[in-house]
Order: sequence, then structure tokens, then C-alpha cells
Amino acid sequence: MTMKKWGLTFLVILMAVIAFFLYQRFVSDEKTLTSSVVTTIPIKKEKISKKSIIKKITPKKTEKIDWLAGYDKGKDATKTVDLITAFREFRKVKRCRFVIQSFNDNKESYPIFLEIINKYTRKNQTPKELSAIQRQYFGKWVDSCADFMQSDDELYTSVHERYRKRFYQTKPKTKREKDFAKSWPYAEETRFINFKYDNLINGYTGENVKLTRAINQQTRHARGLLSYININDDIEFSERTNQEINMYQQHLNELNGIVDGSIVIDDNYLINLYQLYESNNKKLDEFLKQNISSEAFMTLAPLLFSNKNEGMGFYDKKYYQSIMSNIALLFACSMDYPCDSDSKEMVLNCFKSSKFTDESACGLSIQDYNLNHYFSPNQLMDVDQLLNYLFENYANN
Amino acid sequence: MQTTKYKIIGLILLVIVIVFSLRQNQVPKVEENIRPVKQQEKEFNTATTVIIKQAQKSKKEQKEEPNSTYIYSEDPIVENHIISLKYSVCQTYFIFQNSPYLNFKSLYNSKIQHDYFNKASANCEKLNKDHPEYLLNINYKERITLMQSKTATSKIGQMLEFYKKPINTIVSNQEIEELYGILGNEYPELISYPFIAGMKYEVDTIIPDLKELLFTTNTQYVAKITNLSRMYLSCQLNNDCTMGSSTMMSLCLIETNFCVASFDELFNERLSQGVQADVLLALPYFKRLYQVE
Repeated sequence: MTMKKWGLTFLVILMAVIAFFLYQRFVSDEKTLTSSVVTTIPIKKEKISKKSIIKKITPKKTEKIDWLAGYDKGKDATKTVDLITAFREFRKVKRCRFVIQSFNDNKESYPIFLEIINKYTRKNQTPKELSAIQRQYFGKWVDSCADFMQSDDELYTSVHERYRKRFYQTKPKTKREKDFAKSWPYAEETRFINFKYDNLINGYTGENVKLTRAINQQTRHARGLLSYININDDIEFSERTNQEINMYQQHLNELNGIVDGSIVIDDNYLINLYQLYESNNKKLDEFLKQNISSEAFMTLAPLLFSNKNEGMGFYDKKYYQSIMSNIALLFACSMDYPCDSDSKEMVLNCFKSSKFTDESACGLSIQDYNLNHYFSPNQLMDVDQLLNYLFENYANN
Repeated sequence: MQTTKYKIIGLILLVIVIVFSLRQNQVPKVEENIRPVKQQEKEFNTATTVIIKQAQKSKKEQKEEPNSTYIYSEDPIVENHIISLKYSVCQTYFIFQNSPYLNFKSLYNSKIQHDYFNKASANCEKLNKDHPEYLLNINYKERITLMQSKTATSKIGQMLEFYKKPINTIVSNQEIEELYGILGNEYPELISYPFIAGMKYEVDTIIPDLKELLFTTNTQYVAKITNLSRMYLSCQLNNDCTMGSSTMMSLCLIETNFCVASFDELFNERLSQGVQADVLLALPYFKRLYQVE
């Protein structure tokens, strides 16, 4: 009996072991089945709230700046200067914005500057940094920005308003100043005429999305300029500023009229537009021929010369446009344009551009940099050709 | 005795079960193509089937006439690139013919460029008929599929397929210089081709060398002179630089004043004095780089 019992026990254990292995096989079969099937990531069913979607698609509100913050008319001790100096200093104050703001925030300017120039640097690109020479000039430039502040704790908005107000109130006295004063409205008027000429030649319908977008952009531009001039209602504008305001208002009225249909783009309109385009180019050319302001020349030259490549003997339009801006600058240097190493252009070339900086530009004048570094010796033949044209037609000093 | 028999039988059964289970525990290979092969074949359209048949035919021909299956290079990748470059105008022509949405006018507004393209593509139908092996009339997707089925058999071919390599693959300067030597002597059509593998060498070596040679710090100007010098050199090495060539068409699309009959005419009559002089100044540098004299 005992033997039979042991035999039975043995059989039971055996069957249990067999069953165990069969079970393992069954489980492994499931594993292999799943491993040969493409696994999908299970979709997590989460409840998504409408609020989170609305938050994502609502445009972000830009910070509204109080452009008169800190400005005190009683403490405004900005010196009276001529219009051209007022313009040059105002322009420099605007370029010093982040430096003065860094003083206001008790922060170092250099890290903020690096943030600005690396704003569009991709993650896999090495962030830009200034070399030792560039840092030296950066330091000098930061010090020059500090000179605009009346006190160590003056806010940027106050500095900006003092120089802005002076620019819009200063009246032109000399011919140079008057030429400069005329150039800015000429430039805006030309840009507006060119905009209409380029965009309205086939008429206007509200269905043309691209054209509507362009018109809206132009409208915002005119509105922006008007609101910028009118930040401070305490300013007594000069006559030229009032004329400028009227011009922008006219532009806005015309754009609104085109959109609402009160101004019809018919054949008469287009004929007048074409004649206006031609006569404006002639007017610009005649103005520049008697102009003695270098800033006026630099403002209007790009508008007048950018499409004149073939007339100047250059078939390669892109090449012509790339060198013409530098050549116009060299011509302006022969007038009264600031061309030393502290000029806007040389600061940009040395360290300030987010696209391209050249250490060899640091400490050099515009003439020195262009003739000895930027242009190749062979390119000077092209430079000479264009400069001769400019001197023959537009030199008045 | 009987018990022992049972024990033995039981043990044998146990061993069999264990062995069987162990084999089943091995994870089988995951099949790469889940869909059956026949279904994939159905997705190719007839044009691709023709290509495959032609390829098979050419393999047959290869057994009979080993030298007749390629025109420019034994390496199929290089062969395809050269044909694509040489006949890019016709390839573009057929893309426009076969697409209801694309046409030249929709891409380029200038009438001069439009007329130039029409003149340049006037013989494309005849060329396609006379040389079906150029595969001018296949669309971009089919061309990519065809290229992916080929393997590079030469260094140049491998360089042309550099985009397939991991992103941080480095090519030594020596290899690049060797590549340029081969291009200059065997494939002048590819001198102006932008090799991804050569980009680092371009930025680290060629551009700084040329800045020093031309005495300028203007990187964009140096890049312009580099492109023009390469074109000049490849035209000198008998690459097609007449109207209808990809060189002239690409220049015409950049500037309408460059839509002329030949590179020679463009160089002598459409470039400024300064640019001409700098291209000629840079030319010996590229001749040394591409090991041609």
C-alpha cells in the first residue's frame, strides 16, 4: 500500500509540475503575442477644460508702458540745441534704452545685452559673446549712455521724454536744419505713395486677404506714428511737427476711405497715382540736388536709389543694393554726417548688431572701416563709379 | 518494477514538457513589415513599376554589355545627381506639366524669367523621348523612392548621401580635400553642388582663406565670389553653361539681368568690374582646391 501511495503522490506531483510548465507556456505565449504586435501608447482620457484652451488661444497682452513715468516738466533741464543735434541725441537715447533700464533695475547691462543679441539663437547654436576688444567698446558705449541721465535714479521714460519733447519742439533755423526738417515728411510721403503704387495697381476688394493685411499694417503704422508724437499733450509742437501730424492724418483718412469704399480705385485714381509716383520721384531728386543736410540724404537716398541700378551701370541688383547703402554713407561723410567710431553705424558694426559684428570695426571711422576692411581692393572700382555719380549730381557743400 | 516504470515514464514526460516550455519562452523576431509584401507592391503606381522593370532590364543588359548602363558614373547615386543637375530644367518642366496647381508663373512673376524658362525647356519633350533612361518625367516622390533603393558605391556617392549619417558625423579635412580633387578631375558638374559634408570645411577653411585673399571682412561678399568662382571653374572644365543648363537657369532665377545665353556673356557683360576682378583673383585658389590646372 505504501508503495502505491508513494507512486500516486509521485504522479500527482508530476502532474502538478506539468501543469505548472504548461501554465508558464501559456503566459509566455501571451507575452510573445504582445511583443509581436505593434504596441500603442494608451490614450489617457483626461478631461480638458475649455478654460485651458481659451487661455492658449487668447493673445498675450503686451505691457502698456507709461511713457511719461518719472518725467517732471519742472525738473527738465535739457539744453536747447539746434534741430540736427536734437535729432542725433534723441536717436542715441533710444538706442540706449536697455542700458538705462538696466541702471534703473540695478542690473548689469552686459547680460541683458547678450540676451537681446541671442534672442533668435537656436538651441543647437553657440550663443554669441563679445570678444575682449568688443567688450572694451561696449563698456565705453554704456558710459556714454549714462551721460544722458540727469540723475543716477532717473527713469528711462523720463530721459526719453526730455529728448523727445525737445526734438518735436525745436524749430529749424539754418538751411541745413530746414533741409533735414523737410526730409522726414518727404520720406513718409514717398513710402506711402510707393505703398499705394505697389499694392493698389489692380484695384482693391475686401476679398483680397494679402492686400487687406497690407492696408491694415499701413494704417497701424500711421496710427502708431500719430500716437507717438502725441504722447505728451503739454508739448507745443513746431510747425513742421504739425505738418507731419496732418500728413499722417491724411494717410489714415485715405486708407479708411479705401477700406470702406468711399474712395474708389478706378482708372482715374490709378492715373493720378501713377502721375503722383513719377512726380514724387522727380521732386525727391530735385530736393536732394540742392540739399545740404547729410541726415536728409541718408533718409531719402534708399528711397531714391534702390531701384536705379541699371541707370548706374549695375545689372546685379542685389549686389548694387548691398554696396549702395555703404556708398551713400561714405557720401554723407563728405557732408556733416557723424562718421567717427562712436557713430551708430560703427557701434552696430563693432558689437551691436544681432546678425553680424566685426571686431576689426571697433575704434574705426566709417571711412576707414569701409575702405580698408569692408570693401575688397577690387570692389573700390565699383565704389568709385557710384561715388562719382553721387558727387556729380548731389554734392552741394 | 511497475512503479519504476511509471517513474521513468513520468520523468521522460517531465523532461519533454520542460524542454518544450523553454523553447516557447524565447521571444520570436518582430516582423519588420507587418503588411504582407503583395499589398505593398500594389501601392506603387505604374510609373514606378516601369522604373523597376527598366532597372531589371538594365541589370540584364549589364550581363551582356557591362559598360552601357551608366552615362556619367557607375555609382547610381552620383549618376542620378549629375543627371538631375544637368537636366533640372526639364525635370521642373515636367513637374509643372503634371501638376494642376504649380506653374512657373505662380513661382516667378517676371516675364523675362518666364520666357527664359520657356526657351530653355523647349526641347524637353524630345529629350525625354530620346532618352527615357534620364527619367525626367517622374515626380519628386518617385525620385526619392528610387534613390532610397540605391546604395552609393563610391566616396562621392557616400558624400552625396551624407544626410543619412548621424548628425555629429565628422569628415576630416583630408577626406574633403580628396573629394574636391575627385570632383575637379572627374565630375566638374558637381563643383557647385552644396555638399553638406563640406559645410564645416567651407566655414572653417575656405571662407577665412578667401577673406584673406580678397582683403575683405564681408562674409556675404566672399560667399558670392566663392559661388561665382566655382561656376566659372566648372564652365572652364566643360560643364554645360549655355542657355537651358541648370547653372544658367539658377542664375536667371536670382536676377532677371542674368537671363542670358551663356555664363561667358554673363561674366563679361553683367557683372561689375570689381566682382569680375575678384572672381579672377579667387580662381587659382579653387583650381588648387579642386586639383586642376
